[in-house]
Amino acid sequence: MRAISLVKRIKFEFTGNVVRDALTLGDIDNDGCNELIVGNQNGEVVIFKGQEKYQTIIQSHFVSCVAVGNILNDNRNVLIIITADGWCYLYAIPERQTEKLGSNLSDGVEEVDGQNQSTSGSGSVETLSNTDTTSTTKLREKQLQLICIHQQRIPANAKFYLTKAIGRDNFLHSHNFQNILLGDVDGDGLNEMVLGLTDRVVRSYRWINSLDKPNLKATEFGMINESSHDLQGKFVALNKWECANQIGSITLHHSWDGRASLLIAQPGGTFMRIRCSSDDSVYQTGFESSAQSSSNDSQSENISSAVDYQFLGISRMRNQNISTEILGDLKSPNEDSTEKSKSTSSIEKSETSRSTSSGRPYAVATLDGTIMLVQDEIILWAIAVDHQVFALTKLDVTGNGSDDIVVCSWDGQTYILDQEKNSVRFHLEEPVQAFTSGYYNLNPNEPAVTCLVYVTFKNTIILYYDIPLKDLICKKFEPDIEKLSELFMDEGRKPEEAMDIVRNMDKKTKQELVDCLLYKVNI
Amino acid sequence: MEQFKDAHYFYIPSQGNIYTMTDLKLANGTKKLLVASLKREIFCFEYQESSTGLLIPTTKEISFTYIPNGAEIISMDAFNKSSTNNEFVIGITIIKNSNDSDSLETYLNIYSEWEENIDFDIENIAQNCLNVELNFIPYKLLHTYLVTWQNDEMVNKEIVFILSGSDLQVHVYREYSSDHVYKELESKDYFPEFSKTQSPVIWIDVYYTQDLTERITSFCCECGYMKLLRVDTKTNKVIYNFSTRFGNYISKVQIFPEKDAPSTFTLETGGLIKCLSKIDETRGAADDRKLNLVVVNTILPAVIFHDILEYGLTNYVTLPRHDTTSILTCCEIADIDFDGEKEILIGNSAEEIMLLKHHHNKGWCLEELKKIAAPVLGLKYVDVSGDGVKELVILSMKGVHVLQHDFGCLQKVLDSKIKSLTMPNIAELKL
Repeated sequence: MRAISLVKRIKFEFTGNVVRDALTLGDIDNDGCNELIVGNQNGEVVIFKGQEKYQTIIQSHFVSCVAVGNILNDNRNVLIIITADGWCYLYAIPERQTEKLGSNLSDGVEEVDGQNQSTSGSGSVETLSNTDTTSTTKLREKQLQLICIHQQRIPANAKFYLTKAIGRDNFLHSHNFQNILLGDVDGDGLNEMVLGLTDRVVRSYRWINSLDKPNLKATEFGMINESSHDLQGKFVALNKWECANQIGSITLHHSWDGRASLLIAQPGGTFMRIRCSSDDSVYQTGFESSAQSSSNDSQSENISSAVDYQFLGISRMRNQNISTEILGDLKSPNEDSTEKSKSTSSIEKSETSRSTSSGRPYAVATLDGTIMLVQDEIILWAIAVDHQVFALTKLDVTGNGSDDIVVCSWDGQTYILDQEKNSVRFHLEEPVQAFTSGYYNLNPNEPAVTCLVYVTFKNTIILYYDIPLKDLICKKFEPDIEKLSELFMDEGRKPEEAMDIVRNMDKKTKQELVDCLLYKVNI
Repeated sequence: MEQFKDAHYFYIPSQGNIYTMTDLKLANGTKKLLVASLKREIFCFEYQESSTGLLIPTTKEISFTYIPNGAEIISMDAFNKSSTNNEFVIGITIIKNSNDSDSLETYLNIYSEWEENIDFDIENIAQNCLNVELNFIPYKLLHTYLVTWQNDEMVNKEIVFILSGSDLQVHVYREYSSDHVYKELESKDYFPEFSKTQSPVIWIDVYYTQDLTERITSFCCECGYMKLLRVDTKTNKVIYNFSTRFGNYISKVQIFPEKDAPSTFTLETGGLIKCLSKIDETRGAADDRKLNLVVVNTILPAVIFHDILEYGLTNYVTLPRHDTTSILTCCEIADIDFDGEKEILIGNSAEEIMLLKHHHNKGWCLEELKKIAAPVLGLKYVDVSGDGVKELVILSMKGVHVLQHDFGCLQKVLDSKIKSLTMPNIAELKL
């Protein structure tokens, strides 16, 4: 397999253990530049911008997920931090800086869900410590600092997985106005937050502005919402699904007709697919949302969902309990044109017809090193590597318009695969505890560059940027035959004959000719 | 060096040194790389072409016999005895720590095939070893021709190994095929240029003139002493002998002609022969004889001596360098931008390759710096992909990097070259 070595890198100091989803790239300050956000088990969330550390946010508890996205559905990104004890914090740059410094921090604290609380909450203590730390960070006036705009208890067990679909790619797609669909699980045009829990439960939440300060007000005054740092509203639970097995990862996928579905990876290369749609046409199954009854009454539509299990990889798995990762919505190049026409021509989804009836592919990877590309539940190809693959991400490394699969193993082996199964390997010669790939801005004035981010066990984060891969395959240089045939043009020789000479030339002669032309001919 | 893209990288488990990368030129034109590391691993790298035209890099670890556990590889060299067939001889110098005493055993292992073979099988070669026990610590190993003349007629031309050592001498090993042994050439007559030096010789470069009547040899020592000699191979007399002293460890000397020898490529079709004859015209006859010498100092800047046949060591220019803290380890001299003039590439310990280019008005300039993932130990510009375009191969502390030219740039260069060859023909026709 082809391998490369990478040179351009930045090392950040960062102590503590990082879980897989406590690492993300996103534009938190809405300046069009991507930042790196990472949280550890001590509750520290650090934001890196460019070459420097930008801000440290101290939470009281183990940070299990961080994500950046337009979860409030007001066209700006906020930082979502989920701690292991079930608190969800929203951070954002205040629109008008430091007028009301985090005064009503505890206002938003509400227990939303009627579900039984499995952990005994110590909520008040946490709130206090949090107020202290956020106000101290605000003393540094020079930089725009993120402040906590909302915190809320969400029923939880030990760990969370926050779907990557919500925030990670928002910035990327914002310029062609497709971000509105991202994180939109039920197809209503609003972003939802989907959380996977270690007790095999998946929940979805939506941000609802509270009734006394309706949604209208925020939109009337446009982007400048003066009191945006003490948000009136809360997350309400929409759905709850229980899986048969432990959840590997959750991804958002769109089928060929543009319908969104959630893919939840299950052990042994299988996954559960949940289609939740806001219209009634979808057939109903027994897996109805149980949390629905307790959800907010502003929820007018009747949410129905369909769940099915796919066992695509099970036959080739050596170990049927092996943990699995899944990643949906891989962009393929031939589909790009139809995507564009979709965004420009019509808003209504029903009118968008794709030229091909096949859906986007999605990738499945298992810890024992099998990486599969699947389209419409058919495995297009699978490869097996000798390393324990734990992270599965997508990134258009080559910039050819199609997403490449980037996987990383615990020992630092990173495989970059395109959808034609061509692969390139990179080895970070160090064990890795968390990995992500994406785009990062080194300088606010420069465009974002591709990057691979590794959190090592040696208190560093290594960010490789500007991955120099234009092509995943390596070929011999093939000179343009037509040009080459000009050398053989002669009186009485037709161009076709000259072409034939070049065409019939054996490999070695052609190689010598190229060598001679390049190195022996002076202009 | 923007036009270079990363083609491949392979990791070597222990570090090599400036002597441990060599290339094998097979009779069918393909090239392989042989890279050794300190702790006995030797890798053979080659490109294989798949049925769909993709290049598949393959790295194979070759287990050479007679390299015992605990031995360390110092230097390696290889050559093909036959010009039409594959008859490879690979020399590897090793140092063996014996457990009992402080004494070190050192060997020169020479691997070769029993007989000429059309198929190249490195595994086979690796199993067939002749060893020469050494009583010094080996340094640079290289090969060169040994030619013997008799009344203006060449009677013998063979390839011998040359090895420098810690005994401050340079040794020549020659094959005695009748006894099937390699033995040190006792007589100093054949290579009068290698005299005893004050410190170990680090690098030797030997350049033969086209007709093999003269040999230009340069070598450098640890203490900074450097020598340049011109030897008449017919009489084995030294024609001239220059020496100088740089105040630091010298890592490499390299003699190179300002212009490469004209192409020997011919094709039995009218069009091309005309083109090639034109190529020959464009080269001045004087240029062919113009030899330059580059001395890579580790701490001081590198120095180039222009036209050493004419001026000896007097016409020199100090090459620029951008920092004073790195150690320059290796160099390669090649025309990497296809403009007909050679560039100098120097690798250093600061994980960089410096590209030096000659400008007619400004002299040698530091054109570009290319960052590499690890300190650079060796550079080679060879065609390992087998497409006629050479690749830049870099041996670093961590592994071997292969950089390929960007195809877009190549095609542009090729277009302009073809244009320059075809256009004047039309002008001639008009006249």
